[in-house]
Order: sequence, then C-alpha cells, then structure tokens
Amino acid sequence: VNLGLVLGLGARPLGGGFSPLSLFAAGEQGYWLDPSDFSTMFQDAAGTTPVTAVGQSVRLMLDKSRGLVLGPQLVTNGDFSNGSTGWTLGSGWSVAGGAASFSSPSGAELTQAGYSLPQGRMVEISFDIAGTCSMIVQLIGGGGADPSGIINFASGARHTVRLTASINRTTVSFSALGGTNFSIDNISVRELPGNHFTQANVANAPLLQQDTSGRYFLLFDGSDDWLQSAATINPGAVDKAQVFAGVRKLSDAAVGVVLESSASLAANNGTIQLLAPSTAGAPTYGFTSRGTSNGAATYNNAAVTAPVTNVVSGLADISAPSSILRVNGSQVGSNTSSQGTGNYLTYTHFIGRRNGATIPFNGRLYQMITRFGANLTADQIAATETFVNQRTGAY
Amino acid sequence: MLSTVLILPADQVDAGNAVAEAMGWGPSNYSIPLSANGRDPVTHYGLHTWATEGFRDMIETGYYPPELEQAGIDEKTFAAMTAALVSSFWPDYTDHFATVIKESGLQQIEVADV
Repeated sequence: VNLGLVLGLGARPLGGGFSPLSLFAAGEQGYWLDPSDFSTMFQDAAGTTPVTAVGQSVRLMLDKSRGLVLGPQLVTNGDFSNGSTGWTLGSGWSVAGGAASFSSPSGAELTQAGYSLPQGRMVEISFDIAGTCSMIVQLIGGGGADPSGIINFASGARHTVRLTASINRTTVSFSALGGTNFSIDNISVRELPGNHFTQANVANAPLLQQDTSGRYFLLFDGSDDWLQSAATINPGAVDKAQVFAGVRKLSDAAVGVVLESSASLAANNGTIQLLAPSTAGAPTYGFTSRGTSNGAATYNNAAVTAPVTNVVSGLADISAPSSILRVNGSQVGSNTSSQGTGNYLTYTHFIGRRNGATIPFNGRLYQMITRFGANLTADQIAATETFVNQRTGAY
Repeated sequence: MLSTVLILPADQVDAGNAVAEAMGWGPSNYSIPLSANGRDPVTHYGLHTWATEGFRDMIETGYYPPELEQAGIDEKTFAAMTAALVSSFWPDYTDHFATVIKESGLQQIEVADV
C-alpha cells in the first residue's frame, strides 16, 4: 500500500479512524499543525535541521492538510547523468562522473532555470554532498532571492532545504562559498503543498514540550513567541471558516492571541481570531469572525479558569451571520449579529502573537486545524473535536 | 535549558540584533517594546528565550565569540552592547519576563485595541 497515496487522497488514514485530511479533501484552504508529528517540525526556518527531542525550538512547522505529498520534479538531469545539460555552471563548477564539482571561487553558482514556482509556494530541495562545504541554497528569478542562509553540509545523510517563494520564481541556485572543494549530486526540487508556518528568530520560536500524559505541545511563553504562515493564505471565494485548537491556557492575566489572520482583526476585513483569554483578568475564550464588521462569540466561566486544558472550536459564517464558540465539544457562546459582507481575505496568519508583535499567548498548543470551506456537519465537528482532544487530553 | 531574559536600550538594539544574527539566531530577536510608563516613546527592547548554561557563561563573562568578527562586529561594539545589556537566567519561565522588567523599572508598551 502506498501510504502517501492513501493520505493524499485524504478520506481516512489506515485503520479507518477519522483524519483531519478529510476536511480538506475538496481542496479547501487552511492548515493542520500537529506537534505530535516530529516529521513536520524543524529547528531552523529553512527546514534543514529536524526537531528530534523536546526542549528544541520550532522554527518551521509543516502543514499536514495536503498530506505532505510532494509535487512533481521541477528540475531535469538532477543526477547529472546527461552531463551538464540543463544546468548553468558558474566559475569553479564542473560536471564529470555524474556529479557537479566545485573548487573556488567564493559565491559561484550552479543554477537551473526553466520551471515556474508561484509566489507563496514552498519547495523541498534535496541533494547529496561528497566532501564538506558551506553553501547558500536559494530560489531566484524575478528579482532578489529567497535564500537559505549559509549552511554547512557534509557527506553522509541526504540533505534537504525548504524554501518559500516570495515572488514567482524560475530558478534554483546553489551558491558555494570559498575555500571548499566538494561535489553535489541527485538534486531534487519538488513543491511541498500546504500553508506552512515559520519563525525567523530563535528568541521568538515556541518550544516543543511534552506533558505528563506524554502528549506533545508547543509552548508559547506569553512574552514574544509566535509562528506565522510562510506566505499569505488565500481562502478562495469563501465566507465560512472553522478553527479547532487544543490548548492549555496558563494564565488569564492578559489577553492572548492563539490565532489571528492578518496583522489585526480590528483593522482588517475578512478575518478570524481566536483569543485565550479574550478579557484580561477573566476566565474567558473568544472567537471572532469579521466580514466588514465583527461577530464575536465569547465565554466567561470559572470552568475555564487558567491553568486549564481545552479543545476550543470556532465556527463562522459571514453571509448567514454566525460565530459559534465551542469548548470541549459543547457550544458555549454564539453571536448571530451581522458580520457585514464579503469573504475571508488573503492574509498572513499568526499563531501566538498579534502580527508577531503584541498580545502574546501564554500557553500550550497541542493541535491546530483551520479550514476555510462550507459549514461542517455536526458529525464532522464532533469527529474533529474528538481527534483534537485525543492529542490534547482536555476531556 | 534556562529561561533567559535579555533587555537592551533602544540605541543598542541594532547591535544586539546583529550579534544575535551572527550567532545564527535570526535577524530581529529583540521584539518587545518597553518604557518606564508603558507608553511611547520606546526606550528599551526585550526578549525571552531558552538558552544553555554555556550561553549564560558567555554573556556573564563578556566572551567575544569568533563568529562576530567574521560578521564584521568589532570587539568595541560588542563590549558597548554587553555593557548595556540586562540579562537574567532562571530555571523556570513563569513570571520571569514580567519580574525582570519590573526590577528594571520598565513596562511593556500598552496595546490599545484587541
């Protein structure tokens, strides 16, 4: 059985249980972030160093909503079996014996152009190295570059770099730095579909941790931690959205942004927002949807006094105005006042801090599923909440 | 890992961020604006992170790491930055940042609208 194909089709995982993939089976936009899946987390924003243990910072988190199924190969002759065909060799590069070799000077590039990678898409660039080297891997074409930063590579395990196109890109580049002699082979460049989340700075990265029940979570420190989508997310022409989050709220002292689309819901139309708490000093949650005006559903109850672990769900509809807030599988708040008009719009999404600047969330994130698409059935909502709770342990 | 709070005066933040970037931390680590009364103008920026005991030793001894010279940050610039740096290392992060800024006579800049 091709597991990747099964997951890619997205109906249900092996074993017959519910999978959040089914929520995205019709191509709905959104994301599924799963801290219990180590294959989706990396200690650097370029995705070269996997997270392997608790206590490590998470600076790239892959979205599982597309099944992590790679797209088609974008480069040709990646194994150099046809000499240098398709490649442009900068000074110091040569091709012989089925590999590209490099020996000074600094900055010379090995490039291949000719593919089309639209803005916002992430690619997974994999290759083998013989020898040791320092190199910048980057996407170019169209102006500027999307670089990996300087990375040291050595023989042995296959290397992978993950980069997001800030504009439409056409070319992959391997820029060797001086004083090194090495060869590169078996180059692969394939799109990794999804809405992945990153953090550029170590100090702002959440930490992978594990609770006493063995469940994994991201710890947001309530000071300056956040993740943001690597590119803007275009929901499509959609005016309905659903959010499912497994959280442990560690403090009610200050309002915390668990999730917000755009730099600020207060200032931008077509947005969603999940707060924990939603009122400073009160045991609250809040979920708001905004077309051109806010529809906020809130819950203020001693039952959710921090520290508390909950599955918190927000269900929203702009045109048939409704914002529904659910906690641990039960509806606890709703608002059917007008949300104005329009659809959800294209924005960067922020988890843990508004616009990466203010209103930090102090707590744990066990699971996060955000979906833009038709309203879900009661069974789908219940199944999703049960799934999130299995990874959260709230009830 | 140690809960780590670092605070710099605003005029040293560029140097602090350059040092952090040279150490592989990324470009903009000092991101929490602070002032004495919680209102503009911002006088300091802070960060909270997790660091090793080796990092604490480096900060507390003023060690000048070779990565900085490679990045073009001279020892004088580094020394001026570390002289202005407030650093604190705790075993647990609970209330760490709030305590350190209070002890430093600072508050986070207030946010008007949620």
